[in-house]
Amino acid sequence: MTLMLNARADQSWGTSQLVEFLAVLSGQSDEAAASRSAVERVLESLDAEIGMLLEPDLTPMVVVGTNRDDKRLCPLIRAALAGESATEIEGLGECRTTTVALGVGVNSQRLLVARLGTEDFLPQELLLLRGMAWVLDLARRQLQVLTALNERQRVLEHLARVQRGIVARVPLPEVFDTVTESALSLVGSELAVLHLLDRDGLAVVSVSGRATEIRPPAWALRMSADVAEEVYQRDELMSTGGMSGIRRADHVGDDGVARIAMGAPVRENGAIVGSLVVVSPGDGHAFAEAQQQALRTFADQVSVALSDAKAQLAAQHAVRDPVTGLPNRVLFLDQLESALGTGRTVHVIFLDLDRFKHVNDTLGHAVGDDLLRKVGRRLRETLRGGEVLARFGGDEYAVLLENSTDANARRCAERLLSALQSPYLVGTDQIVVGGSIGVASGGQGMPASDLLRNADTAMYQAKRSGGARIIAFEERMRAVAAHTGGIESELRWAVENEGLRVVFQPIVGLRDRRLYAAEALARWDHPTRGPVPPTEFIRVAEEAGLITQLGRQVLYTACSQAAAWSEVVEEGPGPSVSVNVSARQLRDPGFLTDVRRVLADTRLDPAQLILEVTESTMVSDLDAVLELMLRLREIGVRLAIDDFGTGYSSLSYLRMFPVEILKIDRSFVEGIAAPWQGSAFVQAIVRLAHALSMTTVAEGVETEDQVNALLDAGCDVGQGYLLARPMASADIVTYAVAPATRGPGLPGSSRFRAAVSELRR
Amino acid sequence: MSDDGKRWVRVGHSATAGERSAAAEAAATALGGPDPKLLVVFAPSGYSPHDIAESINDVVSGVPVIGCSATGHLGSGGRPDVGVVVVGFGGDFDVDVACGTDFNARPREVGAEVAAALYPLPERANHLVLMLTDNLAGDQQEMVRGAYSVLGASVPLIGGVAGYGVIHSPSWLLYQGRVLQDAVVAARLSSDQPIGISVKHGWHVEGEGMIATASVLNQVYTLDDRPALDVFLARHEAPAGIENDPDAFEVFALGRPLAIARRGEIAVRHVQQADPRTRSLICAAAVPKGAAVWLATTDLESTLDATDAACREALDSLGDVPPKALLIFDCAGRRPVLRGGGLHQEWQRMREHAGDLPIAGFYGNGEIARLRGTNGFHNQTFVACALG
Repeated sequence: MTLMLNARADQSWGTSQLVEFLAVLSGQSDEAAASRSAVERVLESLDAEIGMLLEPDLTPMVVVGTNRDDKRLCPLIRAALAGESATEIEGLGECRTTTVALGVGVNSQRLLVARLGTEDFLPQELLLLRGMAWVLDLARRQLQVLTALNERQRVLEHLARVQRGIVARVPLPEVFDTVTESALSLVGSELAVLHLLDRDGLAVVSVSGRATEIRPPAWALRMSADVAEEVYQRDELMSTGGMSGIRRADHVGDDGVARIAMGAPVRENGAIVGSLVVVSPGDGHAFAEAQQQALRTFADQVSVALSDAKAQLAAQHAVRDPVTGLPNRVLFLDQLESALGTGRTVHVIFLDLDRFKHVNDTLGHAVGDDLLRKVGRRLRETLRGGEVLARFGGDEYAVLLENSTDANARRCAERLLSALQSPYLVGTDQIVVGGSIGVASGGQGMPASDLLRNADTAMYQAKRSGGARIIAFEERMRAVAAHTGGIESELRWAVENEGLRVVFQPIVGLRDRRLYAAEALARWDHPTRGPVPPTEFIRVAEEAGLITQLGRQVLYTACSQAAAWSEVVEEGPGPSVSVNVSARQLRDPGFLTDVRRVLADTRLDPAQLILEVTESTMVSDLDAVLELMLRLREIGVRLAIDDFGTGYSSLSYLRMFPVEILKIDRSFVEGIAAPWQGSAFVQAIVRLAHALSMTTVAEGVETEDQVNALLDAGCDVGQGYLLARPMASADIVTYAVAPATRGPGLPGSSRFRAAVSELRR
Repeated sequence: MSDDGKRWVRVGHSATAGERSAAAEAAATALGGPDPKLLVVFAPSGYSPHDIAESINDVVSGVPVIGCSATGHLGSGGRPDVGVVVVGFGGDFDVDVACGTDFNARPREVGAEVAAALYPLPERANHLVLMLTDNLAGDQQEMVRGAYSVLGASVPLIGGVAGYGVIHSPSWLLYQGRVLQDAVVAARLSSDQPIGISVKHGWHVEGEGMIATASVLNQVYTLDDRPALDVFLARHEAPAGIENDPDAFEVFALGRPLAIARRGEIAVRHVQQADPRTRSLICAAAVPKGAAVWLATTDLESTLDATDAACREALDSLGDVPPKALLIFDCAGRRPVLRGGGLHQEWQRMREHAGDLPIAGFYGNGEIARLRGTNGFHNQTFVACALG
């Protein structure tokens, strides 16, 4: 029919098809479209006529080339699964079939292909089919992630709206209306009704509907009330599908259209008081898990609003710690504010028990509470009239001294510490606890919270110094984090005092092992725990809001070191440095300014700085991130996508973002030396990256086999323990100048030696 | 004419002055058999489609009519290129027709809608769907995908994209007395006798392959990261500045298509226009990003060999069943290769294979033929369909 291509064309056909396939799938809007498109493209690539995507139970999800209800499908599926390549299809004649699983295991979906005629599938066609199945699986998972991200984003937006209402203490009816509107939108229903218990039973307190009529139809409200009653009786999420009491006729509206409904319980302080119900068009189908989850979430919001309203009333009287009977933080702050308002000097003594956690953990909470009561009693007995003692929860106590001097406060603290340290008899156990005390003072104009925080900071300093001591607050301590104790506080201290170090892992050419760049990696050597794994402290830093500051420090250190490398390397630009950027940093409006300032301060050529961003970060706030990336490119900074393949891996985004480097996730590199899967996919990524003029960097390179497979796949740059472990900045210079030696010896020039010595200092 | 008393195909051709008279004459000839079922009209794009539609409407009385403009057309009396050709199908053919509009905005949906309108299929052994589409409309391959999603593997699809003439004038389609643009018109022919279809092009690749490093649908921006237009002009040693003269470029590109790899073979992509602003090439069918791309070349002999092979294969596949007619969908893009007597030679080759059989067809701007696989849209290709 046509002339055969030369050998190169024939070889490149499979890879070319995979790249095309990946590009097409990544452009699809959702999973269903991607599946349909995938089956069509598979047929086009293999010149086959009938294609199917089968569920694990062999139900066809997608059928191309014939109808879903074609009676010939069953024998076709049977033949393909039995491995009978040649089979006869009624009306179409002889054909060849093949099938391949999308994933691993018996629960994976399968692609089935049938080609009319007597021409067997060639080995490279079967290989291509496997590659396509794998790419389809990947693309669909990515689309699921994106859909989930979008859905989560929508839920969060609605929740934020409801929560703003609760926090702002808007009238309850307004909060209820917000909830029903949100539920309507998120569950995709036509009616959302909130039923709450009053003296006469469940009553409708809020209704939102899509219909243009002001009042929803009576039959819909009746259906909602039935479901609400059922939910109230059973105290669990119910839908019409699972309710025997509702007749089928009740599922059909007056307009003749079938409806389904679902309700979730609403509670007040744990007790059920109503139900949030949605009504949707449909017949017999259950609500999806995501819809159920959304409804539960909004019902919980109503519960929070109700409980909060009750609690608000109760809170006016609840100013005492229930364990010790001492004033709690609320009352203490109130009194502190009053004291500060008098214009006299006020002292706060902040006391934290040492080793209390050990007591709680080993002897139980009952013993712990007993100890707290005894401590409270003893401290109170130590104080004089007018001195206020409070317990803040946990093992923290505070004392307020009005109109006192520093010396008086110090003496008071010493009395407290001394009293505290005497043994306690709890049950049959004799317990000794110590305490760490911080003292701070303030006067008129100082916010109560600031004074309290200063005392807290001083206490933290006392604790860090070994405990059982009193330390007065000084301004320089402001930098010392003394917030909650534990790793977070210690990390905060370490970050704020630049207690972390930065190491650099070379990114090298796979062929010549020359340094391409070095990735800056933060390391934390805890004074007592030793090295803390990066995954652990990065997570804590994210949670504690320290990541921006940490990122800024790493950026500065990385840039200053890279600038120093440039001075040592005698020819050409110095090695580039690669720095990870967190999602929070990207959202920080000051990030661009930070980068500019750091580049100016360190005098690093912007082209030597590579910022690594993960895929999920990119898609989470597309427009803003794109804008930022374009600005970064304008100032000459290069951008890399980190961990490519683990997130959304959208090719359309790749095209959109001004990214120059694509780092292939280690999970792909791990399998690359395996027979087909790794290399086929990595090859496709590499070709695509090259098509987009991007450099690919393989992460996690650990064996020579992987290096060879990567080179075959067209990937020239890698990073991993095989190539080089993370090292100090000074060693990067050694690596850069003498890549072949790899040893400890330094190259000869005196300028080089001097520079390395400088770096080592 | 071919008539065994059950099914017949007649080809009417008239070059009488004035399209009204020519259309009426050709239609009258095509309607010469008993129980006419369908008329298919081909005429130069410069003719008035409204005059042709009205004229045929006056003659036919209730017989479905579809048709399209052509860049040259074929009729039994020879390769006329002038006048009007009308093909009549009658007797034991089961026929239905359909059309869809708004093609450019929703090619896939239109393809599926038109195919669906040809259902249900009658209880006959074989079915054939003939689709004629508008050259002004968009993604033809996507339209074919839509049609295939309904027709499936059981129903072969043939046809072509309306031509806009040697001297450009807007292409058009005819459907039941109406003149359409941005549309698809289609006819289903069902019978108990076999249908033979063959698709050949005769092009081969030249020089080193490249990768389409940036492309969106039919527009190729870069090949191996270099502006596609510059690569195309340099590799073909084109006259300087030709990309700035649309007419000159079109003529130049007509015999210089691109080829993309398809399962060890090549598919041809006609280069329609240059975009000097973006230094890109606009092709007649999609060139997917990442596709391996070559320059394609051919010569008179290869082109005629393809014609030969397609006619032979289509007729041979009927087996012992005597053919009724040979329908041809040829490409306007092959005509430059066939210039200087080649067109006549091509006609002779067809005639040699067909003998006394009626032959009808047209030169269009893209060919539709889905016989095997699902790739149903072609460029610079020759499609032969033998009706048993």
